[in-house]
Amino acid sequence: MKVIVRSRFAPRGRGQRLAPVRVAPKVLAGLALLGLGWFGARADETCMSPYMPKITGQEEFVYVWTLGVEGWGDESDKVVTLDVRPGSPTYGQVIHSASVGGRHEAHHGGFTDDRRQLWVSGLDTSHIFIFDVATDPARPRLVKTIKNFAQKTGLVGPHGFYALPGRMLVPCLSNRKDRGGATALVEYSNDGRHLATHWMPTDRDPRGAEIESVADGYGYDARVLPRKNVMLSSSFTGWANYMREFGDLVQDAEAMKQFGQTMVLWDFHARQPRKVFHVPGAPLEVRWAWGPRNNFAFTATALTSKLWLVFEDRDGQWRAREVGHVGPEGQGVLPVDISLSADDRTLFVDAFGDGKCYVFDVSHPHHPRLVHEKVIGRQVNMVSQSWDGKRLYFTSSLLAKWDKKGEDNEQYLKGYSWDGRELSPQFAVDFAAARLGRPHIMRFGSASLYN
Amino acid sequence: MITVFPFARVLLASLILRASLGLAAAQADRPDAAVPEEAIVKPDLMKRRTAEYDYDPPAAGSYQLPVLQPAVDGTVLGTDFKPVRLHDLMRDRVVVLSFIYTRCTDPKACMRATGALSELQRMSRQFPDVAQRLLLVTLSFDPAHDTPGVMARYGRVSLGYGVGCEWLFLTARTREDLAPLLEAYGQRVDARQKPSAFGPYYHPLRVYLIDPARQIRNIYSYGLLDPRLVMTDVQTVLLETDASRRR
Repeated sequence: MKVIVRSRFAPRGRGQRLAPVRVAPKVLAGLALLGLGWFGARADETCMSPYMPKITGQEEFVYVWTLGVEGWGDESDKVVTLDVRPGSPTYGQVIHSASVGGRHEAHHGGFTDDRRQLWVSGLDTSHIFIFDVATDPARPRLVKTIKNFAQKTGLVGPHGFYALPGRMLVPCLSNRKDRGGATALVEYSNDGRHLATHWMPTDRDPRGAEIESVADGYGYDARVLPRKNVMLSSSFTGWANYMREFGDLVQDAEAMKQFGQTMVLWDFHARQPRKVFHVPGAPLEVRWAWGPRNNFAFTATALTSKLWLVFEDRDGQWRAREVGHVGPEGQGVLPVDISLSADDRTLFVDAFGDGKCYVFDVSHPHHPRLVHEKVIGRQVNMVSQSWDGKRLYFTSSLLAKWDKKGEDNEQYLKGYSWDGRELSPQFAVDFAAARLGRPHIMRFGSASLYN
Repeated sequence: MITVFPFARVLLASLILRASLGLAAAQADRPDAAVPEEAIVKPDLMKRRTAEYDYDPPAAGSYQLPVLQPAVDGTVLGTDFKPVRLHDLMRDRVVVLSFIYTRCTDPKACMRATGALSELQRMSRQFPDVAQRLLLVTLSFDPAHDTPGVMARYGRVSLGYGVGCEWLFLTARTREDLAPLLEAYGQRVDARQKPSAFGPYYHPLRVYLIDPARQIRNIYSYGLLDPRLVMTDVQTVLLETDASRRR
């Protein structure tokens, strides 16, 4: 039996009929009754900014930006460090934890272009915490906190940290005025000074962009393909939604309309939007291909469970096209995070709804082919892949108020190997048993970066 | 040996550099030779796409370049061995500043930066007004090896026919003299702990765009160091400077 969830899950459109989203009963139960969430985050070596050095060999450490939980340990958000050096006596174990004090809705983070600092943020307080990871890569150290981000920029929910030369690009989720989805991209210098704000194009103010159907002004991810001088951004929802108890949110039909349905192609150098694609269903992570002739990017839409391809056609025109479905046909499994292999041939897709990782052969990017699926846990959110594609790491948490409840509220980091055919478990760390918190974004570290 | 080895290294780097610049070594060593037709920039150079930079740059002046930070001053050495303040060299010009060391053999680092500056110099012939107001600076962060003499030889190779805007090749008396400058610009340089074919230093590629008010307006690294984009930024800064002076 399948249940059809109608427009309250579907995003707003301009004069168009919204397609219903069919969600399996088990998933729906999770959404409505247990307060599930599904919006993941980015994190892996193959999706790092092209402007920073990469770890192309064995990563040594995994840094995990972890949400504090009331009653667990110091109850604060923290950067947890795992040792993933094969043969190390502490392989697969937590070796360090650096608390920032308080709960800020820990979510995303990223390195500066020299990879000496790790910036992480809180989606609730909009504080940004800057860690030194170069002096002792096994023990990240908090060196600076930016507390006036909202006052300085007029925005809230600093979401991502994408390294550009000498500066950070920070796509945001919301704004200070109404805490809705209208938002912007912000630039900060590596030493923590606000440089510029670039608002997302809207129907009212397209900023010169061609609008395919609607320009909602929402934001989520932003990534650059330098070879083509283009940047692609995606869209999610505002503070009013992501900080709300999910059980309440899904009962509010109006609030459920406030989700992104656009992707924006930018002239990167000029920071000017060129085209607003209509990609319904909250397109989240953006993954550009790496191949020198591969002018395309993948994304997954959480609400509609689809894979989309944004590509340059033979006439040099950029287009967005739905190319596949995630999960059983006709069902929504809430794809959250995706990871594209460095050879552009394999796409890993985490589905929060059923806790599975779906693996697609995307050698023909317009025709993804499912080749493997694996249950990772009762809830799975993020996936990080090593550059050689042999190791993958998964974490469980989404948002404090959106994670599953009761026994389904597993909190873990799990390491897997990938042999080209199958994911095989290597180790697991129970973040609940260790009273650490809800593990979210992962970033890789290595001492070899600095010598 | 002490004097031969540095020169041999520069010669080796020069040959690689020349290859990357597309210049014939024999021609480059003859600055008084007649400039051949192919060395003169064609009008469409700004529109020439490559596999690495496969797009048309935005129009100059159609976008903003935020002020990143002050471009601090410091004492450097010219190829005449005389100390000079960096700001005195800049005068009222837009400056493209590149930190390098001549022993670097990483094709994606120092040679790439010098190649881009060489292309900028050629490009500047297309824009005589820009050429007069643009200064290129290559500054070594390896003064123990890169003496003014070494930089002079490096410059002779890099300059090619020497046409276009002015291009200076600088170093410092000691690494200690240079340290405040590197720190202020955020140019990290670390000695490699393990031997590398790319040279003794690990450093990110950084090239800086500095406006006439001595403020850094852009930073380029590998992947962004498209000479056409840099030239567009130079023109954008000049347009902005002219507009502010008219007000």
